[in-house]
Amino acid sequence: MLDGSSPTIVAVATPPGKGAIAIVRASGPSVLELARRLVQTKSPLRRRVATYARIVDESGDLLDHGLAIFFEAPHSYTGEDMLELQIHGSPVVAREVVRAMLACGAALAEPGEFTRRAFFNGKMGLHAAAAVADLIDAQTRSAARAALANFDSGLAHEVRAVRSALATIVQELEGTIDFPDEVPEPDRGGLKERLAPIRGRLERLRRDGELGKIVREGLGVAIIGPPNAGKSSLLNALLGMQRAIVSEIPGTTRDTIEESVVVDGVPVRLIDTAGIRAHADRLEAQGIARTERALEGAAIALVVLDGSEPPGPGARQLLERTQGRPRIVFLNKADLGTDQAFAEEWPDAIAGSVRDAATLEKLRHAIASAGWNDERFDATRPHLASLYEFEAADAALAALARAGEALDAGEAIDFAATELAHAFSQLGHVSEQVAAEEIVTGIFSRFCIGK
Amino acid sequence: MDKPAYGNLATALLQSQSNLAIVQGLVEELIVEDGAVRGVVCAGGELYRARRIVLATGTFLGGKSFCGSVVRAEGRFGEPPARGLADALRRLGFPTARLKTGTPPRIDRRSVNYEEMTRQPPSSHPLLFSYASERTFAGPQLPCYLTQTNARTHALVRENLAQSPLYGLDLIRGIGPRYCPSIEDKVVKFAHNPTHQIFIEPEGWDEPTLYVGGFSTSLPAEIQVEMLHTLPGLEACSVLRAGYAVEYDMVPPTELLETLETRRIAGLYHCGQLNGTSGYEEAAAQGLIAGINAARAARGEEPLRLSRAQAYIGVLIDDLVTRGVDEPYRMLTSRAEHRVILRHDNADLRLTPVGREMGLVDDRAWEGFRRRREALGRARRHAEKTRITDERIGEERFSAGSTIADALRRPSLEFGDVADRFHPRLDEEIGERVAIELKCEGYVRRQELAIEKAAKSENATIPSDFDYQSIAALSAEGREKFASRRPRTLGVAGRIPGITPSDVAIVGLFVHKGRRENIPIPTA
Repeated sequence: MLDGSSPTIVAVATPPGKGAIAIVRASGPSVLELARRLVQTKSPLRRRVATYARIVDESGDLLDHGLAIFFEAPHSYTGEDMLELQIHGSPVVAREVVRAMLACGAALAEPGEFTRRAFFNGKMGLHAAAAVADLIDAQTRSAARAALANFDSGLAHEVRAVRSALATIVQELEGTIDFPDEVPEPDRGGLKERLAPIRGRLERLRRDGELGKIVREGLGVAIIGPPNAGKSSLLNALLGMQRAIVSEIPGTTRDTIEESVVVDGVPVRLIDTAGIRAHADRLEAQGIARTERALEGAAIALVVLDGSEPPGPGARQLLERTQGRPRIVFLNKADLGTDQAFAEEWPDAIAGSVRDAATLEKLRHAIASAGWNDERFDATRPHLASLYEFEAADAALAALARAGEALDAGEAIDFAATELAHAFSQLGHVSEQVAAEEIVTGIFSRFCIGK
Repeated sequence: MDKPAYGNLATALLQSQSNLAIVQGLVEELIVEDGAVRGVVCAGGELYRARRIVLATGTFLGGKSFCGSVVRAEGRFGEPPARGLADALRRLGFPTARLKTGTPPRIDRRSVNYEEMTRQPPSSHPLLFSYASERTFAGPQLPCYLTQTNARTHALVRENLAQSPLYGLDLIRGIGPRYCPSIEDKVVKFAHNPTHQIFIEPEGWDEPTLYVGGFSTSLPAEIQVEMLHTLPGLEACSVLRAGYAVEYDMVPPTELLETLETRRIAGLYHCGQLNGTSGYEEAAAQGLIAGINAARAARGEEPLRLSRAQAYIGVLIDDLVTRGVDEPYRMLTSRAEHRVILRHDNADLRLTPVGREMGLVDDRAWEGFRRRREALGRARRHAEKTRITDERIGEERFSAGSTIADALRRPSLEFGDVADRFHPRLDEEIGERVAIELKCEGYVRRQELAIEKAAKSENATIPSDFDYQSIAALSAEGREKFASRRPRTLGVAGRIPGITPSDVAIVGLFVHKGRRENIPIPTA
């Protein structure tokens, strides 16, 4: 466990932007106190039960109506007491709820902090340890980087190397603009040659970053399929021994549920529609919408079909919908026989039974390899672990591309310089002023400036 | 630029200004009542009462000059320093620090062999500071000359470092500017450079003095002569005045509001080298803003603040008051993130309307500006809607339907290439401005988008009595820095060194409490 002094943290758990619902999560010793002040319910909150609630701010003014769920330590994602508030998907409301929690003494979570706590509290399997350790390391470093402190190895080293290669060029360009007498304008052709490897290294980081993102968030796997195809059984079988770390939410009205497991050393989020009973009076459209939402958050579609019967229209529709994206087709109920039509049309499908260990092994392997696109996961390789780093790398790449265009078009050197300076500041996670100071320092140490 | 002529013009302008009394005296004391300045007392005991006072102390505040082992109390050659004022500021609680600058020797132009140096002809089209200026000063532009140091010069510097107040004697405590190193610094810090460029610049038409640019030094006067004699063209030069270093007091600009008024004493404004800057333009810019704001405050008007996206002055002042200085600050284009917008060609479009609002642009200048602005608009519209009939201009090929504007967007074409397509003929200056505008267009648009995006936090005012201590979520460092710096807006808060994005986000949440706006917050 983390020591008792670690603060209660809070964050919006859903991606930025407008969705149907937003989820605000808090974790730490004082979530019950937060609930007491901000969550008003008719009956008392019960463990792991979604309760309809009025959510108010610190002075008791109504913010929203929603669902509140309390998870008691250690049976929560982080292993600490947790409070989850499901509210309407307006960013304004989510922000106000977070603000109210801060006003009650909570701290804003660092990116990935929930996962980090989960790890420290032993909520992740041993297999994930290497991957998560790398993630934590990267986060620690990115915090250090924000303070421009020294850091070493791995990602930070690579980013720093890319950044310093870029700095050399930016210094020459900025230097020649301010001090044309002392700093010669670099040759344009040469510049492009020097920029190419910088772009290459950054693109590589960006690509590997996709892996880092999986480490951070878990690989999203949507389990979809017609009713009674065996989604629930599959889910339970995949959860297996991992059951203890699952943050299951029975009886909620959310239309998807996420469960975390580790498959072949890969943290996986199983996005599950199985827990929702298909009532006879529900429209088919709702089922489709639910599937769509599950797919939206997933990297991989795991299509579960009853393989013992000829494919019905529902099955065909799902297979069409998931065409062309990473997916695994699982033909369940092979113990009752496999229909020939399936076997012919989808030869890559895995046929078997959730009750069969060998089938499960195949499925696990398929999930892991689909997640890495057949690249073996290597925790020692640098990842762009945090969202900030991702955005920074993207922005830097875009700026480098524009600088290249400006040079190609023969435009004034200022334009390329502006773009490259922007890329430089992005890669340092620093404001443009801080970056400018670094560049200026570089110019003065390399070139003898001044009349 | 003729130095005496410039001085005479400036003096004449000041003397013709109505409502302006000019008196000379050495200020020794500031009168402060209830945290607000009320006047100054001079060395002779004269008292001047005022509710707004602008300090521009240059290198005179506690000024000390160094030439070899000769140390003099002076702010400039032969002129006494202001010591009482420095003490007065410290008594009021202002921290001070020492900075250093230097000046090169001046030599007699008649003792120089120009044949040995490279002539640098004056620009055939000298750029003026302002579009309102219609011409340069009467009189010819004079050429400068280029020479360089060599192994003998460097050897002399090294041999005599022991006599340098900066090195061997270790007399100078102040921090000098890196962009204006002395010749000693150049030789020591750039030991691998076999030669350094030296610029020989005339100081005026009738002045006998040449300024030895790039040769600032505080070595003993006799060594300076020896050093100068190693330079091609200066072998026999006679030195009119030796170079020297000067050290002076500054007050950290983090003591200031963006208006350049001090936080500590209401009504007191600081500008120029007192704020740790160096350079003429930097000083002029601050003098202008401090003066405008002192006058506006005296009249009970809103202060003038220029943003980083609006003017280099905005960049300068924001850098000073949010980041502070640890060496003499000089404006560089690389410090301006919006420099594609902050161009000299559009300075009048950006700032003349502001000047007009401040009452600083007279009717005649304003009329001239409006005419230029209209002419620019017309020329731009003509360029956008006039098709080019031929498919080739210079090396560039055009498809049917291309306009003059399309042609001007091509990097290889300039206004001169399409000048004959404007009827009536366009003023060259207007044409060139339109060409620059078109070439920068895409970059300007992107920067404008970025500025718009940042505007929300730039404009989000933090109440001046905001209680940072009550927000437990802030980092200890953030809480301490915010509480002492009291940033006026979220944008400023984010530029304070050592502040993390999450600290700013947290303050933002509380500043926007209850407001129905979508301020993005970090997700985890």
